[in-house]
Amino acid sequence: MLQHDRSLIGHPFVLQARDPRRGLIVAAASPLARTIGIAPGMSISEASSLAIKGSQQQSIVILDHDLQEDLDALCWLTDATQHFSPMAGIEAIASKVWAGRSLLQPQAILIDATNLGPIFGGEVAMAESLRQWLEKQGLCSCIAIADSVGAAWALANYGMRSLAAKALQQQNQQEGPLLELVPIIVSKEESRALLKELPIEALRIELTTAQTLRKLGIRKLETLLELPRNGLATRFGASLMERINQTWELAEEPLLSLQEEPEFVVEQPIEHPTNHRKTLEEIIRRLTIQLCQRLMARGKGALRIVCRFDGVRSVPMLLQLGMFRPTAEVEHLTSLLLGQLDQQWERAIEVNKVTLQATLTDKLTWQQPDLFELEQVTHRDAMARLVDGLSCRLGRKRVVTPQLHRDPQPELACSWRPLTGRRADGKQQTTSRKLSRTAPQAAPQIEDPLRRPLTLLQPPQPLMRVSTATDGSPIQFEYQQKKGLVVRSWGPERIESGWWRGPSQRRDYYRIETDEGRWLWLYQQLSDGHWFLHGEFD
Amino acid sequence: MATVVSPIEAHPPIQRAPIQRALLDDRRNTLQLLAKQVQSIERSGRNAAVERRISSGCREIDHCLPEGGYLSGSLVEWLCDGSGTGAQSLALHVAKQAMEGGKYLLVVDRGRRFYPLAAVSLGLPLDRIIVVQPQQESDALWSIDQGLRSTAVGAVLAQVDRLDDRDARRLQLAAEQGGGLGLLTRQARTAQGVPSWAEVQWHVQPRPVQAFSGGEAKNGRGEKYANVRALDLKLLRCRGGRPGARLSLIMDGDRGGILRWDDRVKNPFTDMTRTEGFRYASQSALCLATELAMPTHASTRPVAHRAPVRVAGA
Repeated sequence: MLQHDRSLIGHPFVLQARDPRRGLIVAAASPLARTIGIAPGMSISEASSLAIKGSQQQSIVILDHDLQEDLDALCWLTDATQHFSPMAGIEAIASKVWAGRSLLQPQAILIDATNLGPIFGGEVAMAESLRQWLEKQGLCSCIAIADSVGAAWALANYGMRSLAAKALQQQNQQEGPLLELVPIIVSKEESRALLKELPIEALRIELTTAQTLRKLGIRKLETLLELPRNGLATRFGASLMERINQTWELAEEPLLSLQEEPEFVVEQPIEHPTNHRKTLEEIIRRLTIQLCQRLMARGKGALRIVCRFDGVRSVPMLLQLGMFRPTAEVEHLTSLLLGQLDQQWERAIEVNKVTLQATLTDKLTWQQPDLFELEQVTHRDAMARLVDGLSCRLGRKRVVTPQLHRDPQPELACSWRPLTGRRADGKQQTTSRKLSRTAPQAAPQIEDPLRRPLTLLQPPQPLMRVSTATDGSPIQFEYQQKKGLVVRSWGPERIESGWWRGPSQRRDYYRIETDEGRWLWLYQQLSDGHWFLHGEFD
Repeated sequence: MATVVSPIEAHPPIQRAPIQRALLDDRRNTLQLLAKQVQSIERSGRNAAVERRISSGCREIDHCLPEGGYLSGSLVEWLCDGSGTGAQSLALHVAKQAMEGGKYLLVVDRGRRFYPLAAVSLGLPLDRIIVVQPQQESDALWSIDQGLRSTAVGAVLAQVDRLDDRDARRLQLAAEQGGGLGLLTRQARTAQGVPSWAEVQWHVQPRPVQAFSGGEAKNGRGEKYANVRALDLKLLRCRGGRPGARLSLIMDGDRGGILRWDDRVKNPFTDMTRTEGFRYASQSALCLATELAMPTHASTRPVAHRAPVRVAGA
């Protein structure tokens, strides 16, 4: 978030999400916000009141949590972790939110590390290289390696979380590099000793179960495990017993891999490691043909492709592609991959194996178009190729489509959604399908055409020396050391953000026409009376 | 309702001798032929019959263009001084027309300033707007080029600061290949007077409404406009047509952003019907043809235009 919007640096900020039962809640809080006492799961009004009490000088920034964007980031990260293990996936969530979590969405990556230690020179070295790799991505990681998914999950989430929070807080205060969080690597016996001390939420149980247990005075796993199992099963159902089995008894559970079927993976080992460009290009061409043949045989098209170049003693080089529509066209995919290779050629390594994998696929649509739709279908296909090409060169976050929201605050009334690497219905993976039932999108507001500007300045530009008429409308102002005389003005249009967003924004907007005929969109901030230029009617 | 008819229709045809009439027809045919030849030379061999005509969304602007609109597969430039001038709104009106038939609009927005709410209120379908936000200028040019080459893109809207001759030619060839419209808004201080590959180039100058109709803007029926903005347009360049036309337009904010026509116009096509517009173009072409034949003697001024006759209720 901070990498995306530099203006947030130094400000405590939270992301808000709508909980069906509790209304708006804090989905995530920045380290600075956590220092005030704000924690995920708290209601937004509670967080706002804490912010008012806690910080006199700084106001808290509240932004909308984009579930899809979050999932996207997690999936892309999971795709990229392939060079640590061939089996990587995101956690499988239950139908109800777990105790200790604020959101019903996957938040952890699971990697099958069985027998992989020796490749990296031991499990410690493997965990360390994983940590370093994540640090390079600007992420602070909690890593645990244990004998079962349940134990590793509990240790990573509850064994390291307090340490991670401290580290983030410290880093925030010192403005230095991220503090190193030593990964937890435990054997069966060691894990039991550590698990005993963890709270019952580490079992991934439902909120109601956790609340009942807490009412009974059971807070730690140790206490829970002392109780007779028969009684627990009759009182709390089979799900609690299953979780205890998975975490304490180290029962195996399936790992939902993000990677598609193994048949959509093709690879080519190279006997003598090389960085000869033409050789690698030829290998990519051949692998793409193979992959497309396999996809076509199953009537599928690739939406995401990862091409990995394994080096002898270096971190693999990754080419990641996202497509607008599922495709199995050899020429199209080859040109996209070669384009990516061209961009990343400076980082080329001595390669001894090339692997090409379709990590997200969908059915190829072979629908017979209607007579009158034929033209539109042709346009859609051509557009898909264009969007893929643009995303490949510029990055998928730079080729976007607008999404409108019902928000009075102009800058929040529109957001941008990347076009590639998603299924057409917006659904990502099996685990997240239930989550895609988001609130219906705001229908575009057809206001009169000259009500909103065509360009919006972000952030709004301050105006100097504004003189106003008796009714409050601007008469004269100074912007970029040039005077502007207002000939006509329309307004005020008062726009207020909801009180639940924290310190509310109260603005009086004016559309003005200057003596040069230019149309601008100004507003006066009612809290301090300052004027800003927010848009231009270009 | 007043209807404009041509002078020939208003007056009964004069009975002339058959030879004279044949001569007259012959001259008219020759004129038309010459005009077509001059246009085809100016249009560098492009075939107007094959290309799609895209309306500008404003009848009066269409009348200033030889084909009655912009031709698909070409570049259109709007030059303006500074920001907030309304040039992009004019471009969006064209884009709306170009998107007909399920085509897409590609907005190349390097400054990340495009606000789609305004586009939606102009009636553009949101699901067919694709926005590219490149960081580098070279990436922006490449995106425009790629967009223009695609057959699915009806129009590419972009703000371009500097465009050298080679890049402009590249974009023009891309537009010809894809058949879309390149709608470029540029700053007049850098683009004016520089050779351009654009098919049509306008200069847009906003005008405060106070300076319009003595303080109030009115339409033809005398109704006052409250929520309007006024723009002065000058046709700087028009391939196959004659530049120099001036238009004063009103953007109506109350009735769906339709461009309205002001009564006082400094346009050589004032009060012309479509056919007369063409006739004017033919006359201009005749001047050019004569000039080419006898560069020292021919007059560069077009033949005086006869005012049309308005017949009420006809």
